[in-house]
Order: sequence, then C-alpha cells, then structure tokens
Amino acid sequence: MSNIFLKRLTKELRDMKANPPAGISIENADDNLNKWTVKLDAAEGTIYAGESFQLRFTFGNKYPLESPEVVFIGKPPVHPHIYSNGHICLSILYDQWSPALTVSAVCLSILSMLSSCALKELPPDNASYVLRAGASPKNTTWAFHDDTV
Amino acid sequence: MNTYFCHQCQSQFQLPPTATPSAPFCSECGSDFVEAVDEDDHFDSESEYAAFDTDGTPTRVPHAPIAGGLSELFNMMIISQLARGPRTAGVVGGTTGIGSDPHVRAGTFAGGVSISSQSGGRPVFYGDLAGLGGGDRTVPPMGVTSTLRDRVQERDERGGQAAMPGMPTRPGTASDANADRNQSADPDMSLDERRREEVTRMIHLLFNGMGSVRSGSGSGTNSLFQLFGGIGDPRDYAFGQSGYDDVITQLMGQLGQGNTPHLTEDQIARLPRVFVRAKDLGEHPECPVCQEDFSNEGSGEQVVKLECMHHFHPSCIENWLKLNASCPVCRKPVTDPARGPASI
Repeated sequence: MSNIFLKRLTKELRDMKANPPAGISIENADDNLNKWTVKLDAAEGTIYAGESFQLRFTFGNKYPLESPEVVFIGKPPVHPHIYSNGHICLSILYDQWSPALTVSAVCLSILSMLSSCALKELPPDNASYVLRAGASPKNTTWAFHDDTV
Repeated sequence: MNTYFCHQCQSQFQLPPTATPSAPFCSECGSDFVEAVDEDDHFDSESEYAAFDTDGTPTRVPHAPIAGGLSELFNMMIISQLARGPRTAGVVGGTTGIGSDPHVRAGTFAGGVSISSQSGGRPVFYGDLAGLGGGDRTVPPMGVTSTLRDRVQERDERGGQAAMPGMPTRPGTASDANADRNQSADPDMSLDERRREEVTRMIHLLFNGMGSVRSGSGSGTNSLFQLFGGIGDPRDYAFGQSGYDDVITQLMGQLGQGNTPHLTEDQIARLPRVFVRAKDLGEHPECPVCQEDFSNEGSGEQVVKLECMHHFHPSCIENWLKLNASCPVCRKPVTDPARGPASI
C-alpha cells in the first residue's frame, strides 16, 4: 500500500469530517481506509428532496491514480444514469477520472446529477445491463452520451 | 432455382436445385466466394433466430459471436482505411464454413456479411462501406476475416507496439502497404497515432447518425450506415436497442485505457521544473495529486510546472502522466516540450 494512498485518504477523511459539504456525511470508513460508506441527502427543491442514499467507495492501492469504485448500496435513487444494481454511469468515475478529484468532489457530482434530474426513471437498458453486469462497474465499458442530466 | 450472390464479381446468378453442388461456383467468374441468397431472408422471423442456435432454442442469439463478428468488421474497416496496398487481402480462401456452422453464421451476420436486403435480394455487404471513398482500396473478402483476426492477435502477442490490427502479413504485401502509406501520410506520425486517428474517425463516421436514430427522428443521413446502403433502422442489424448498445460499447472499448495518450519517463523528465513556496501559490498551495501543501522553507520546493500553470510534486505527476498525458486539474493535454504530442 503506497504512502500516498494512506496520506491522501487520511487527509480527505479528516477534511470531510471537519467540514462536511452540504448533504454529504461519512457514515463509516474501514481502519485501513479502503472502504467508505457515505450518506447523501438529496437537496431540497429537487425531485429527490427528503430522500437519502448510501454510497460505497472502494479504493484500490493505486488511488488516487486510479478511480475508486463507487456504487449505491441499499436502495439506489431512480435516475436515468443509475442502474438498479447501484452502478452509476458517470464519466469521472471511469475514463474521465483525474487524481485531482476527491471523495468530496465525486459526492458533489453525484448529488448534482440527482439535483438536475427532472424525471425519476431507470436507464432504458437497465434490465439487460443489470442482468449481465459484473460486481464492479469499473469492469464495464461505459459509453457516455448524455450530459444533460 | 437457387439464387446465389458472388462476392467476387458482385452479381447474382442462379443454379437449379438439382445441380447445386456442395461448394457452388460463380457461373460468371468461377469464384467460390459465393453465398446462397434467400429472397425471404428476414431476421425478424423466429426461424432465422432459431437457425443461429445450436440447440435450436429460438429465443436468444448468443452475445459472444456477435461481438466477435463486430470486432472483425471493425478490423476490416481499419484495414481498408490504413492499408492502401493493392492486394490487402489477396489471401482469400473462400466461404468454407460460412452457413454451415450456426455460430459461424451468427458471427458472420453480425459482421454484416450475410444479411440480405429486404428489397432486392442483394446482400448488404458491410465490406462495401469499407471500400467507400476510395476505389483503390481493397476490401478483404469475408471468408478470411477470422484468419486475419487470428493473425492480428498473433502479431499483437509477438510484436507489441508495431503490430497493427488487420495489417497484411505477407511480407511483400506489408511492405508495399507501408511504403504507400508513408508516402501519403505525415511521416512524423507514429503508426499508433495514425491508427488511433483512423479508429476515432471510423467510429464517428459510422455512428454519426446515432443520435437521431436514438431519438427516433430516423434521419441520420450523414451516417456511414446509410451511405453504404444500410436499410431501415441500424438497431435492426444488432438485435434491438440493447444489441445496438453492445455494438457501440464494443467499438468504444477498443479505444479504451490501453490507448490513452501518455508520456514516457524521459519525456516527463524533460518537463520544466521550478521552485515554488506554498505562500506564493494563493488559494491552492497543495499538490493536487497528494493534496499535501508545498513547502515554505527557503526558496520552497522543486515542482513540475505544466504549461497550464498547475504545479505538482515531480513524483506525483510522473505517475499520472505515465498513465494519462493530461493535467489532473484542467485536463489540458501535456506534451513533451522536446517533441510535440504524447504517444499513444
């Protein structure tokens, strides 16, 4: 486990606990920091207002050079880019990842994805995707084609 | 009478059923690269689906052969774009096996070879599209695609960087094609760069009309699909929307991680380094990768300063640029100051 992995995650955890961004709270983090559970509270005035969701972050040894695996656990929001198995179609979690992104930045992106959604509906290919998707969304080759939601 | 289509002379001919040999020849040119044409060939019919399945279940066409066929198609498209040599695929065997083994047939269909158009009975031949826009380009006949593909894999395993999918393997042919290409293209461009460009272009060309197809307006007239004579909705050729998504995913996958532009250690070593102090950096005195503040001691810390004015610890940015030649903060491509754009 690299030095930067521990140093960075320790700092991120400390910062997020000290100054949690609106709607984001750390529920749990492993002792070795590689699995976190984060609670998202949907913003008021959005179609998800009053709902809260749980995200699971799994960090590989190469974090932050490699993106964490991020999935919804429990009941995921019904959203055109979120599959019912918790996988999230969001480019920054896959090929658009950058080591300058943080847990907090990822959470904010997902919250903003929820906030800009006007209609609760599943992705059109939800059934077929969920049927054949692997456990980790990082093993899926994603095609990003819609940045309006 | 049974109708056949000859891929060599691109015409139809008929043979009486009684005289139909097991390996039919074209009555015009004698080529054995012919295919039985079923006038009623229609892939919506259950019987056609059933024909693909080994155990006769008419429910679902397996995914794998489709994917395989597509990557073959894709390789072929690249061949015809890249290899302008006169006899790219003079290695033609024939149609051995096509149509006899259900799996081969399914794969072939996905590659687009054996689809018959609804109207005329002339098969829609994806190969035509690859030859589009250049009469001098040779399209590899379908019978050899799997062979080509195997060879490509062989080359990839053996040759590493220099291997290019679908490049002809006969020595003479390969060098002809190379010579030709070198004359016509920028000699400074690496094979990989050219390949990437071509692949990107093909995807754009082929799926230009995708948006309109998805939204249902159906007028993707710029799409190569229409240009090469694709009839109806492209989704029909890939077993519905999800199959169509698979196609896109498959093609996109070939542009995946392995092809991300990156820098070598030497190139990274040439990036400019400066001394900075955290207090001179304003609001963001930290390295964006490790999130540690830069030092304030003495004249500060030696950092890599990218063209976009973002600063990083040398070790932090080095590891990233080896994977991806872009600034982690603003995504601006990072180039080797000595040699221009990053390699792929």
